[in-house]
Amino acid sequence: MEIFRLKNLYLSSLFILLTSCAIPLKYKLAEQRNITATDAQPLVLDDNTMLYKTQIFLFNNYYTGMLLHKQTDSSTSHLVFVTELGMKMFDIEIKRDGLKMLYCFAPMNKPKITNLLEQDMGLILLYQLLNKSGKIYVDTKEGRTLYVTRESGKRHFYYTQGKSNRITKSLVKGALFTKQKTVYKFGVDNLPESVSLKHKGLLRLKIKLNRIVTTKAND
Amino acid sequence: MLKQKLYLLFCVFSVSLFAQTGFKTAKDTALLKEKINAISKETNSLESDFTQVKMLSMLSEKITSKGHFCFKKDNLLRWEYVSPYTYVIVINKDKVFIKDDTKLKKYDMNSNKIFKEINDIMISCIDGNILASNKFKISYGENDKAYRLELTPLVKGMKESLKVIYMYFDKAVTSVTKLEMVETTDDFTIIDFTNKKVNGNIPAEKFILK
Repeated sequence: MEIFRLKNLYLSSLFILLTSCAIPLKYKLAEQRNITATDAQPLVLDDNTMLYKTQIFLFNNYYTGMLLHKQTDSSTSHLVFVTELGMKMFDIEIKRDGLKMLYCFAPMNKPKITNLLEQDMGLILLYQLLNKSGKIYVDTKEGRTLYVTRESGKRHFYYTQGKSNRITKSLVKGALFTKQKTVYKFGVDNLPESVSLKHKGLLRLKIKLNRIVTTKAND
Repeated sequence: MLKQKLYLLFCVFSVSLFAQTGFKTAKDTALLKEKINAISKETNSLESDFTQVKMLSMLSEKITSKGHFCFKKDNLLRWEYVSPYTYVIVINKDKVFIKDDTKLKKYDMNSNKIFKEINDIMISCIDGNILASNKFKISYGENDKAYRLELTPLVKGMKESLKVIYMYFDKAVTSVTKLEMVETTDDFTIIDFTNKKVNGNIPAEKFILK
């Protein structure tokens, strides 16, 4: 009985190991090259200010407010999170060479938290996909594309919606388990209506964004 | 780019201009303190509409929110936002309720230091108890139409985020008419209170969310 249990444990572990690292069978490798904005539509288009109603669950704290994304010049944009009561919680500068926390509200300003926010906001904005070298897999039956990139020993999987270049789901996988999962839902204007990110593990983070459609994004 | 720089310059200029427009050191600070202390004692409840403008100076962007506000002694506060989306936050002593669409969340105020800090500032500004606080250096100003208190944070943990808070009172000193919070990054938030009702009857249910 004991041997049978052990066998089952080894087999199920092996199954998890194999399936967690595998590319779904229906996808076939097409090519490997730099992924561009033509392959995958960026979350925010240039010169387009976006405002999102935002919920952030960080460890045991819950923050709500608005997340503003704004392009400030041709190579720089900012992500600013402001609570409903008007307190700015963070301001992340986004440049080609990386995301940088410019400001974080004092009680939250700890390296563990700022690194986590930089990393996961970058993931939401497809920062680890665009202009990075990756493998392109195609589901010939349904026309969907899967982009696979590698960063810091983790594999990033980005799935498109049908034949379009819109990413609807991304997964970041470690050696055994999925660490982060992001899901995008698009509106009729081809811009994301909602985004949700779940970061598993010791550093728990959940981000939910819902677009606020206003005439000018600010009022 | 030039437009953004000009806008930034305008924002910085307008903040400093706004901070100085016609406000001189109050002639009789003892009388002003007395009046503020009196309204602090006499105000048992306050209800008003509000318009909140958050100015992100670096981004040349402003976010405007509108809603209804209720305050009742002691430590009961309700901010009901109706624009750009509906959102209600109720502070009932040491409990925080947040209603967002259909979701309701309840927290212990002491479990979230950030919330507690913001709430303490807000309540003490509205009920006038901020004068007794040793967390700020207070300067008193006035012009023809209003009194203005300039609160400069003194304590660690607050002065890293907030540069100054301005509280405006009408000349009759009946209640706070406007709050302006300037952050260390020069972003600022202005909350204008309109259609005020002092000491009206606010039902207790307003401060409980279910």
